[in-house]
Amino acid sequence: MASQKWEIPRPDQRAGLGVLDCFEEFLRRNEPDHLRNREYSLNQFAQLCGRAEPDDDTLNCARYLVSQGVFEVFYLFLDSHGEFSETYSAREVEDAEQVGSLVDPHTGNELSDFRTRLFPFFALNEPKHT
Amino acid sequence: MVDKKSFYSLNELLASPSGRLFVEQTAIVSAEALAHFCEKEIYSIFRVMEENPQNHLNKSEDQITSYIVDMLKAKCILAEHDTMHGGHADIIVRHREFTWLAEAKIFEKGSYTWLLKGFLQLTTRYMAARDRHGAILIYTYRPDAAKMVTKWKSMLLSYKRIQHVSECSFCPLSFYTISQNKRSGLDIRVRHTVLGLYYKPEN
Repeated sequence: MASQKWEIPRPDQRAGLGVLDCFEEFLRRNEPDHLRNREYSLNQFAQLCGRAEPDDDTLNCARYLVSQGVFEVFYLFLDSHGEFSETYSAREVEDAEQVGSLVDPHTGNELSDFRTRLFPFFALNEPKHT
Repeated sequence: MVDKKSFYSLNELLASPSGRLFVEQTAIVSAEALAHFCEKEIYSIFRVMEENPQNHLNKSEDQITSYIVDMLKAKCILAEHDTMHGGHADIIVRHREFTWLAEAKIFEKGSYTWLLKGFLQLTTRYMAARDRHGAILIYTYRPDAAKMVTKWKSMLLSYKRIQHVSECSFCPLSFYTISQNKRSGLDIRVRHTVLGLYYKPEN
């Protein structure tokens, strides 16, 4: 299990995502134990894809990797002390976006500014056995 | 203290179409949510194609389906054409462990039997025991697509396997049927939707 490497499935067409090659190289270079249990911000992910900051290509690449089951996305909540304090699933955030509010986990108050206080992060799922 | 500038916020994501798609697609954690997502994406592709039907004249069923699958792939959606899934399913979309299936039929010569064949292929051949969501994509070069939808709906209503028919809230050329997956006994929800490619300008 420890030696199992992450591999990105190669469908007939990779949707022209050149940035995937960059990310795949990052996975190849690193030992699985080094990648396991780590969180990557969107900015870090963009850099792993060879981009200075998140752009359309890195967002598309991230969606592709989530669909392939390589990644899980979650959001960290920035509290009033300026610290990341809570974790929200992508589903919870999408629901909040639909209704237009999120309940502050500490005060119970509805937060209308939740969009500026949630930040997407990624964690690698365990590699699939092939 | 976290330096906010080092992180990309949800607000920044929502400012771009690709960011909004990211928020929406990464939140899909059920087959039902995948079905809703695919239905919206197909609707969006159909609208684009219908804006310029002259670009799609005389195409075969397979050519139109290939074009749709390419459009999905261009959006980084894991779509496949003609993949073996109990038979050669026209479109399969995968996301995590979930799949969404669509069968395409071209409506030529007013043949509702051809559409029924597609519906039965989808629901009795391609959909596995755990599949509960799919779509019939009907391509037509004939005028008055709404009339065809009405007739197809009434035909299905008289068909004993259909338990329920409901309207689509955002597209008048679409509706849903509920029938039973014979393998599992579970309900199957199928979206029936039309791509109207009639093109005969009279000026």
